[in-house]
Amino acid sequence: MEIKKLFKKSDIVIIAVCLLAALLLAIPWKTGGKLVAVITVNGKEAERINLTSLEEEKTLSINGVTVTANKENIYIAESDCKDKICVKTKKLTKPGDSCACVPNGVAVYIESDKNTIDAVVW
Amino acid sequence: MNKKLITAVCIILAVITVSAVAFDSITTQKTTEKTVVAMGSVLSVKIYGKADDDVLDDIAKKADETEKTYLSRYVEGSEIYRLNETGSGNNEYIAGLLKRSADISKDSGGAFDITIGKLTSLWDFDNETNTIPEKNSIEELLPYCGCEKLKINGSFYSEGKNQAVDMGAVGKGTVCDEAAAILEKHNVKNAIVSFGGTVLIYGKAERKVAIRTPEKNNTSNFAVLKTGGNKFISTSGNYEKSFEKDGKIYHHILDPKTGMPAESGLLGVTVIAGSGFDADALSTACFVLGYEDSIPLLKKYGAEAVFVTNDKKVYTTDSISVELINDEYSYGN
Repeated sequence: MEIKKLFKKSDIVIIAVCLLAALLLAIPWKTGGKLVAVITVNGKEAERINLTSLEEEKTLSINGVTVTANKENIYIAESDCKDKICVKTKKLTKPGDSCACVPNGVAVYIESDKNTIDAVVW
Repeated sequence: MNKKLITAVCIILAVITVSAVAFDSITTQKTTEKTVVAMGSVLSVKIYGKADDDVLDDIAKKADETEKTYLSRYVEGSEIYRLNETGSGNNEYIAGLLKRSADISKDSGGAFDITIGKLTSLWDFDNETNTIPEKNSIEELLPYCGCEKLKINGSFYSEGKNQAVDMGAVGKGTVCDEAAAILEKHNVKNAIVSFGGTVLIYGKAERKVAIRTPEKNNTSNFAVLKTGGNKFISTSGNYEKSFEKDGKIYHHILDPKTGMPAESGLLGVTVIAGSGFDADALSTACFVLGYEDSIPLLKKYGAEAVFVTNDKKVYTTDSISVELINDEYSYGN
Protein backbone atom coordinates (compact mmCIF):
# COMPACT_ATOMS: atom_id res chain seq x y z
CA MET A 1 0.00 0.00 0.00
CA GLU A 2 1.37 3.38 -0.93
CA ILE A 3 2.00 5.88 1.82
CA LYS A 4 0.21 8.57 -0.16
CA LYS A 5 -2.98 6.51 -0.06
CA LEU A 6 -2.74 5.82 3.63
CA PHE A 7 -1.98 9.37 4.71
CA LYS A 8 -3.20 12.64 3.35
CA LYS A 9 -0.86 15.61 3.47
CA SER A 10 -2.80 16.99 6.40
CA ASP A 11 -2.43 13.72 8.30
CA ILE A 12 1.33 13.91 8.04
CA VAL A 13 1.30 17.50 9.25
CA ILE A 14 -0.78 16.53 12.28
CA ILE A 15 1.49 13.61 13.11
CA ALA A 16 4.58 15.80 12.76
CA VAL A 17 3.09 18.45 15.02
CA CYS A 18 2.24 15.82 17.64
CA LEU A 19 5.75 14.39 17.54
CA LEU A 20 7.29 17.83 17.82
CA ALA A 21 5.04 18.73 20.72
CA ALA A 22 5.96 15.50 22.48
CA LEU A 23 9.66 16.20 22.02
CA LEU A 24 9.36 19.78 23.21
CA LEU A 25 7.58 18.57 26.31
CA ALA A 26 10.41 16.22 27.06
CA ILE A 27 13.39 18.50 26.38
CA PRO A 28 13.37 20.66 29.53
CA TRP A 29 13.60 17.44 31.47
CA LYS A 30 16.89 16.51 29.88
CA THR A 31 18.67 19.85 30.06
CA GLY A 32 18.18 22.28 32.92
CA GLY A 33 21.01 23.27 35.24
CA LYS A 34 22.49 26.73 35.27
CA LEU A 35 24.97 28.25 32.87
CA VAL A 36 27.74 30.32 34.36
CA ALA A 37 29.98 32.33 32.04
CA VAL A 38 33.42 33.54 33.02
CA ILE A 39 35.34 36.36 31.35
CA THR A 40 39.07 36.51 31.94
CA VAL A 41 41.53 39.27 31.07
CA ASN A 42 45.14 38.16 30.68
CA GLY A 43 44.34 34.93 32.47
CA LYS A 44 42.70 36.58 35.49
CA GLU A 45 39.00 36.27 36.12
CA ALA A 46 37.38 39.63 35.48
CA GLU A 47 33.69 38.84 35.44
CA ARG A 48 31.42 35.97 36.29
CA ILE A 49 27.86 35.96 35.00
CA ASN A 50 25.06 33.58 35.83
CA LEU A 51 23.43 33.48 32.40
CA THR A 52 20.40 31.48 33.52
CA SER A 53 19.35 34.23 35.93
CA LEU A 54 19.62 37.06 33.37
CA GLU A 55 16.24 38.66 32.81
CA GLU A 56 17.40 40.80 29.92
CA GLU A 57 20.40 41.08 27.66
CA LYS A 58 23.53 42.44 29.29
CA THR A 59 26.43 44.20 27.58
CA LEU A 60 29.89 44.61 29.07
CA SER A 61 32.95 46.43 27.81
CA ILE A 62 36.21 44.87 28.93
CA ASN A 63 39.69 45.61 27.61
CA GLY A 64 38.58 46.72 24.15
CA VAL A 65 36.01 43.96 23.80
CA THR A 66 32.24 44.15 24.04
CA VAL A 67 30.60 41.03 25.39
CA THR A 68 26.89 40.42 25.07
CA ALA A 69 25.21 37.97 27.41
CA ASN A 70 21.65 36.74 27.73
CA LYS A 71 19.72 33.83 29.24
CA GLU A 72 20.71 31.48 26.42
CA ASN A 73 24.20 32.46 25.34
CA ILE A 74 27.17 34.78 25.56
CA TYR A 75 29.41 36.08 22.78
CA ILE A 76 31.90 38.74 21.81
CA ALA A 77 29.83 41.27 19.87
CA GLU A 78 32.50 43.83 19.12
CA SER A 79 36.23 44.20 19.44
CA ASP A 80 38.80 46.83 18.56
CA CYS A 81 41.23 44.14 17.43
CA LYS A 82 42.38 43.82 13.83
CA ASP A 83 41.36 40.32 12.78
CA LYS A 84 37.94 40.12 14.55
CA ILE A 85 38.20 36.36 14.84
CA CYS A 86 36.56 36.63 18.25
CA VAL A 87 33.52 38.38 16.80
CA LYS A 88 33.13 35.68 14.16
CA THR A 89 33.19 32.86 16.72
CA LYS A 90 29.78 31.32 17.22
CA LYS A 91 27.77 32.06 20.34
CA LEU A 92 28.63 30.07 23.47
CA THR A 93 25.64 28.08 24.63
CA LYS A 94 26.82 25.17 26.78
CA PRO A 95 29.39 24.34 29.47
CA GLY A 96 32.84 24.03 27.99
CA ASP A 97 32.18 26.43 25.07
CA SER A 98 34.77 29.15 24.81
CA CYS A 99 36.05 31.98 22.64
CA ALA A 100 38.89 34.45 22.95
CA CYS A 101 40.16 37.74 21.64
CA VAL A 102 43.85 36.96 21.69
CA PRO A 103 45.13 40.47 20.83
CA ASN A 104 43.16 41.93 23.76
CA GLY A 105 43.88 39.02 26.11
CA VAL A 106 40.18 38.44 26.75
CA ALA A 107 38.73 34.94 27.03
CA VAL A 108 35.11 33.97 27.58
CA TYR A 109 33.94 30.52 28.54
CA ILE A 110 30.95 28.78 30.01
CA GLU A 111 32.01 27.04 33.15
CA SER A 112 31.58 23.34 33.57
CA ASP A 113 29.03 22.84 36.28
CA LYS A 114 31.08 21.61 39.25
CA ASN A 115 28.29 19.24 40.16
CA THR A 116 28.82 17.33 36.96
CA ILE A 117 31.99 15.79 38.38
CA ASP A 118 31.16 12.16 39.01
CA ALA A 119 34.01 11.07 41.25
CA VAL A 120 37.17 12.34 42.89
CA VAL A 121 40.40 10.43 43.03
CA TRP A 122 43.15 11.17 45.57
CA MET B 1 -8.24 8.09 5.96
CA ASN B 2 -10.73 8.53 8.71
CA LYS B 3 -10.26 11.02 11.49
CA LYS B 4 -10.45 8.47 14.29
CA LEU B 5 -7.50 6.61 12.82
CA ILE B 6 -5.45 9.81 12.51
CA THR B 7 -6.16 10.71 16.09
CA ALA B 8 -5.27 7.23 17.23
CA VAL B 9 -1.98 7.23 15.33
CA CYS B 10 -1.07 10.65 16.70
CA ILE B 11 -1.80 9.68 20.25
CA ILE B 12 0.14 6.45 19.97
CA LEU B 13 3.15 8.21 18.46
CA ALA B 14 3.07 10.95 21.07
CA VAL B 15 2.81 8.43 23.88
CA ILE B 16 5.68 6.38 22.49
CA THR B 17 7.91 9.45 22.16
CA VAL B 18 7.17 10.82 25.59
CA SER B 19 7.56 7.48 27.29
CA ALA B 20 10.81 6.71 25.48
CA VAL B 21 12.33 10.00 26.60
CA ALA B 22 10.84 9.72 30.07
CA PHE B 23 12.05 6.14 30.44
CA ASP B 24 15.52 7.22 29.36
CA SER B 25 15.46 10.11 31.84
CA ILE B 26 14.27 7.94 34.68
CA THR B 27 16.69 5.09 34.08
CA THR B 28 19.68 7.34 33.65
CA GLN B 29 18.83 9.69 36.46
CA LYS B 30 17.78 7.28 39.15
CA THR B 31 20.76 6.50 41.30
CA THR B 32 21.24 4.44 44.41
CA GLU B 33 24.05 5.35 46.73
CA LYS B 34 25.58 3.84 49.79
CA THR B 35 28.59 4.89 51.83
CA VAL B 36 30.19 2.76 54.51
CA VAL B 37 33.53 2.60 56.27
CA ALA B 38 35.62 -0.43 55.39
CA MET B 39 39.33 -1.16 55.91
CA GLY B 40 39.60 2.19 57.65
CA SER B 41 38.51 4.06 54.52
CA VAL B 42 35.30 5.42 53.10
CA LEU B 43 33.71 3.10 50.57
CA SER B 44 31.01 4.68 48.48
CA VAL B 45 29.03 2.98 45.75
CA LYS B 46 26.75 4.80 43.34
CA ILE B 47 24.62 2.75 40.97
CA TYR B 48 22.91 4.39 37.99
CA GLY B 49 19.61 2.91 36.90
CA LYS B 50 17.86 -0.06 38.41
CA ALA B 51 19.72 -2.00 41.06
CA ASP B 52 18.98 -4.76 43.52
CA ASP B 53 19.19 -3.53 47.09
CA ASP B 54 21.71 -6.17 48.01
CA VAL B 55 24.37 -5.09 45.49
CA LEU B 56 25.58 -2.33 47.77
CA ASP B 57 25.54 -4.59 50.81
CA ASP B 58 27.41 -7.30 48.91
CA ILE B 59 30.19 -4.88 47.98
CA ALA B 60 30.50 -3.57 51.54
CA LYS B 61 30.58 -7.12 52.87
CA LYS B 62 33.20 -8.09 50.32
CA ALA B 63 35.43 -5.17 51.34
CA ASP B 64 35.25 -6.29 54.93
CA GLU B 65 35.95 -9.89 54.02
CA THR B 66 38.87 -8.97 51.76
CA GLU B 67 40.52 -7.17 54.64
CA LYS B 68 39.81 -9.60 57.44
CA THR B 69 40.14 -12.91 55.63
CA TYR B 70 42.89 -12.10 53.19
CA LEU B 71 44.84 -8.87 53.05
CA SER B 72 45.33 -7.36 56.50
CA ARG B 73 48.70 -7.96 58.07
CA TYR B 74 47.28 -6.96 61.45
CA VAL B 75 44.10 -9.05 61.69
CA GLU B 76 45.01 -12.34 63.30
CA GLY B 77 44.03 -15.27 61.12
CA SER B 78 44.06 -13.42 57.82
CA GLU B 79 46.02 -15.12 55.05
CA ILE B 80 48.70 -12.41 54.99
CA TYR B 81 48.97 -12.38 58.80
CA ARG B 82 49.52 -16.13 58.72
CA LEU B 83 52.06 -15.86 55.93
CA ASN B 84 54.07 -13.32 57.91
CA GLU B 85 53.89 -15.47 61.03
CA THR B 86 54.60 -18.89 59.54
CA GLY B 87 56.31 -18.16 56.24
CA SER B 88 53.86 -20.12 54.14
CA GLY B 89 50.30 -20.44 52.96
CA ASN B 90 48.24 -22.14 50.30
CA ASN B 91 45.29 -20.06 49.29
CA GLU B 92 44.64 -19.81 45.57
CA TYR B 93 43.31 -16.24 45.70
CA ILE B 94 46.29 -14.94 47.68
CA ALA B 95 48.71 -16.90 45.52
CA GLY B 96 47.27 -15.05 42.51
CA LEU B 97 47.64 -11.64 44.15
CA LEU B 98 51.18 -12.39 45.30
CA LYS B 99 52.10 -13.52 41.80
CA ARG B 100 50.74 -10.32 40.27
CA SER B 101 52.57 -8.26 42.89
CA ALA B 102 55.82 -10.07 42.12
CA ASP B 103 55.31 -9.51 38.38
CA ILE B 104 54.76 -5.77 38.76
CA SER B 105 57.68 -5.61 41.17
CA LYS B 106 59.93 -7.27 38.60
CA ASP B 107 58.63 -5.15 35.71
CA SER B 108 59.18 -1.96 37.71
CA GLY B 109 62.73 -2.90 38.67
CA GLY B 110 61.68 -3.25 42.30
CA ALA B 111 60.00 0.18 42.55
CA PHE B 112 56.82 -1.57 43.67
CA ASP B 113 57.43 -4.05 46.47
CA ILE B 114 54.92 -5.68 48.83
CA THR B 115 57.71 -7.10 51.03
CA ILE B 116 58.73 -3.80 52.62
CA GLY B 117 56.35 -4.25 55.54
CA LYS B 118 59.11 -4.00 58.11
CA LEU B 119 60.25 -0.68 56.69
CA THR B 120 56.67 0.59 56.65
CA SER B 121 56.33 -0.36 60.33
CA LEU B 122 59.61 1.38 61.15
CA TRP B 123 58.45 4.66 59.61
CA ASP B 124 54.96 4.14 61.06
CA PHE B 125 53.19 6.79 58.99
CA ASP B 126 49.82 5.26 59.89
CA ASN B 127 50.19 6.36 63.50
CA GLU B 128 51.61 9.76 62.63
CA THR B 129 54.65 9.34 64.86
CA ASN B 130 56.37 11.86 62.57
CA THR B 131 59.90 10.72 63.34
CA ILE B 132 62.71 9.86 60.98
CA PRO B 133 64.16 6.44 61.79
CA GLU B 134 67.90 6.04 62.38
CA LYS B 135 69.84 5.44 59.19
CA ASN B 136 71.25 2.12 60.40
CA SER B 137 67.81 0.88 61.48
CA ILE B 138 66.67 1.38 57.90
CA GLU B 139 69.77 -0.26 56.43
CA GLU B 140 69.38 -3.28 58.69
CA LEU B 141 65.96 -3.97 57.20
CA LEU B 142 66.79 -3.56 53.51
CA PRO B 143 68.17 -7.13 53.09
CA TYR B 144 64.78 -8.52 54.16
CA CYS B 145 62.95 -6.78 51.35
CA GLY B 146 62.45 -7.96 47.79
CA CYS B 147 59.68 -9.89 46.03
CA GLU B 148 62.23 -12.31 44.60
CA LYS B 149 62.38 -13.84 48.07
CA LEU B 150 58.78 -14.98 47.76
CA LYS B 151 58.24 -18.45 46.31
CA ILE B 152 54.89 -18.78 44.62
CA ASN B 153 53.57 -21.89 42.93
CA GLY B 154 50.25 -23.41 44.06
CA SER B 155 51.31 -22.56 47.60
CA PHE B 156 53.46 -19.63 48.62
CA TYR B 157 56.38 -19.06 50.91
CA SER B 158 58.05 -15.99 52.37
CA GLU B 159 61.00 -15.52 54.71
CA GLY B 160 58.48 -15.71 57.55
CA LYS B 161 59.20 -13.47 60.50
CA ASN B 162 62.26 -12.08 58.77
CA GLN B 163 60.04 -10.48 56.17
CA ALA B 164 56.73 -8.66 56.30
CA VAL B 165 54.35 -8.76 53.36
CA ASP B 166 52.18 -5.65 53.32
CA MET B 167 49.35 -5.46 50.78
CA GLY B 168 48.34 -1.96 51.91
CA ALA B 169 49.29 -0.39 48.59
CA VAL B 170 46.89 -2.61 46.63
CA GLY B 171 44.09 -3.21 49.15
CA LYS B 172 41.71 -0.59 47.82
CA GLY B 173 42.25 -1.51 44.20
CA THR B 174 41.69 -5.17 45.03
CA VAL B 175 38.35 -4.32 46.65
CA CYS B 176 37.42 -2.31 43.54
CA ASP B 177 38.16 -5.42 41.44
CA GLU B 178 35.85 -7.45 43.69
CA ALA B 179 33.22 -4.72 43.40
CA ALA B 180 33.38 -4.89 39.59
CA ALA B 181 32.74 -8.64 39.73
CA ILE B 182 29.73 -8.12 42.02
CA LEU B 183 28.30 -5.39 39.77
CA GLU B 184 28.65 -7.71 36.79
CA LYS B 185 26.96 -10.58 38.60
CA HIS B 186 23.99 -8.34 39.35
CA ASN B 187 23.79 -7.07 35.75
CA VAL B 188 24.42 -3.47 36.77
CA LYS B 189 25.03 -1.34 33.72
CA ASN B 190 26.64 1.78 35.16
CA ALA B 191 28.17 2.46 38.55
CA ILE B 192 30.92 4.31 40.34
CA VAL B 193 32.79 2.80 43.25
CA SER B 194 35.06 5.04 45.25
CA PHE B 195 37.18 3.48 47.93
CA GLY B 196 39.51 5.72 49.88
CA GLY B 197 40.64 7.59 46.79
CA THR B 198 40.73 4.67 44.34
CA VAL B 199 37.84 4.90 41.87
CA LEU B 200 36.13 2.39 39.62
CA ILE B 201 34.14 3.74 36.69
CA TYR B 202 31.96 0.77 35.83
CA GLY B 203 30.02 0.59 32.57
CA LYS B 204 30.21 2.25 29.19
CA ALA B 205 29.07 5.73 30.24
CA GLU B 206 31.80 8.33 30.18
CA ARG B 207 32.35 10.03 33.54
CA LYS B 208 34.22 13.06 34.71
CA VAL B 209 36.74 12.24 37.37
CA ALA B 210 38.42 15.04 39.26
CA ILE B 211 41.94 14.64 40.65
CA ARG B 212 42.63 16.12 44.07
CA THR B 213 45.24 18.87 44.22
CA PRO B 214 48.50 17.18 45.31
CA GLU B 215 49.03 19.32 48.39
CA LYS B 216 48.62 18.44 52.04
CA ASN B 217 45.26 19.38 53.53
CA ASN B 218 44.04 20.73 50.22
CA THR B 219 40.71 19.22 49.29
CA SER B 220 40.25 21.12 46.04
CA ASN B 221 40.78 19.48 42.66
CA PHE B 222 43.33 20.59 40.09
CA ALA B 223 42.33 18.52 37.06
CA VAL B 224 39.44 16.68 35.48
CA LEU B 225 39.73 13.67 33.23
CA LYS B 226 37.07 11.85 31.27
CA THR B 227 36.96 8.10 31.19
CA GLY B 228 34.57 5.20 30.87
CA GLY B 229 34.36 1.50 30.12
CA ASN B 230 35.36 -0.24 33.33
CA LYS B 231 38.36 1.83 34.28
CA PHE B 232 40.12 1.90 37.61
CA ILE B 233 41.84 5.06 38.74
CA SER B 234 44.34 5.36 41.55
CA THR B 235 46.60 8.14 42.79
CA SER B 236 49.83 8.07 44.74
CA GLY B 237 51.17 11.29 46.15
CA ASN B 238 53.55 12.71 48.69
CA TYR B 239 50.89 14.81 50.40
CA GLU B 240 48.96 12.10 52.20
CA LYS B 241 50.44 10.52 55.31
CA SER B 242 53.41 12.82 55.44
CA PHE B 243 55.20 15.21 57.75
CA GLU B 244 57.62 18.05 57.28
CA LYS B 245 60.91 18.34 59.11
CA ASP B 246 63.59 20.97 58.49
CA GLY B 247 61.83 22.07 55.30
CA LYS B 248 61.78 18.57 53.86
CA ILE B 249 58.67 16.46 53.28
CA TYR B 250 58.76 12.87 54.50
CA HIS B 251 55.94 10.81 53.03
CA HIS B 252 54.69 7.24 53.14
CA ILE B 253 55.69 6.02 49.68
CA LEU B 254 59.05 4.41 50.34
CA ASP B 255 61.66 3.65 47.73
CA PRO B 256 62.40 -0.05 48.37
CA LYS B 257 66.00 0.49 47.27
CA THR B 258 66.82 3.10 49.91
CA GLY B 259 64.11 2.62 52.52
CA MET B 260 63.56 6.37 52.36
CA PRO B 261 60.54 8.28 51.01
CA ALA B 262 60.78 8.18 47.21
CA GLU B 263 62.21 11.28 45.55
CA SER B 264 61.47 11.14 41.87
CA GLY B 265 60.46 14.72 41.26
CA LEU B 266 56.73 14.03 41.54
CA LEU B 267 54.04 15.50 43.74
CA GLY B 268 51.61 12.86 42.59
CA VAL B 269 50.70 10.43 39.86
CA THR B 270 47.28 9.15 38.85
CA VAL B 271 47.05 5.87 36.96
CA ILE B 272 44.10 4.69 34.87
CA ALA B 273 44.20 0.93 34.35
CA GLY B 274 42.03 -2.06 33.49
CA SER B 275 42.09 -3.46 37.02
CA GLY B 276 42.09 -1.90 40.46
CA PHE B 277 45.05 -3.97 41.52
CA ASP B 278 47.10 -2.73 38.55
CA ALA B 279 46.01 0.89 39.07
CA ASP B 280 47.09 0.81 42.72
CA ALA B 281 50.35 -1.07 42.15
CA LEU B 282 51.31 0.98 39.10
CA SER B 283 50.59 4.33 40.76
CA THR B 284 52.95 3.38 43.60
CA ALA B 285 55.59 2.11 41.15
CA CYS B 286 55.29 5.23 38.96
CA PHE B 287 55.60 7.52 41.95
CA VAL B 288 58.86 5.84 42.90
CA LEU B 289 60.14 5.73 39.31
CA GLY B 290 59.28 9.28 38.23
CA TYR B 291 57.73 10.43 34.97
CA GLU B 292 60.14 9.23 32.29
CA ASP B 293 61.03 5.85 33.76
CA SER B 294 57.34 5.04 34.24
CA ILE B 295 56.40 5.20 30.56
CA PRO B 296 57.64 1.71 29.51
CA LEU B 297 55.97 0.14 32.57
CA LEU B 298 52.64 1.82 31.82
CA LYS B 299 52.85 0.72 28.17
CA LYS B 300 53.47 -2.87 29.21
CA TYR B 301 50.31 -2.89 31.34
CA GLY B 302 48.20 -0.88 28.88
CA ALA B 303 47.70 1.85 31.46
CA GLU B 304 47.52 5.63 31.23
CA ALA B 305 48.73 8.18 33.73
CA VAL B 306 48.72 11.82 34.78
CA PHE B 307 51.95 12.99 36.43
CA VAL B 308 52.41 16.15 38.45
CA THR B 309 56.02 17.21 38.91
CA ASN B 310 57.42 19.21 41.83
CA ASP B 311 57.20 22.42 39.77
CA LYS B 312 53.45 21.84 39.24
CA LYS B 313 53.75 20.81 35.61
CA VAL B 314 51.29 18.18 34.43
CA TYR B 315 52.38 15.42 32.07
CA THR B 316 50.10 12.76 30.61
CA THR B 317 50.57 9.59 28.59
CA ASP B 318 49.51 9.68 24.93
CA SER B 319 45.89 8.56 25.08
CA ILE B 320 44.62 10.60 27.97
CA SER B 321 43.87 14.28 28.26
CA VAL B 322 43.02 16.26 31.33
CA GLU B 323 41.43 19.62 31.80
CA LEU B 324 43.35 21.69 34.33
CA ILE B 325 41.08 23.66 36.64
CA ASN B 326 43.67 25.20 38.96
CA ASP B 327 45.71 28.15 37.68
CA GLU B 328 48.81 27.13 39.59
CA TYR B 329 49.18 24.00 37.49
CA SER B 330 50.13 24.00 33.83
CA TYR B 331 50.72 21.49 31.07
CA GLY B 332 54.24 20.16 30.73
CA ASN B 333 53.65 18.25 27.46
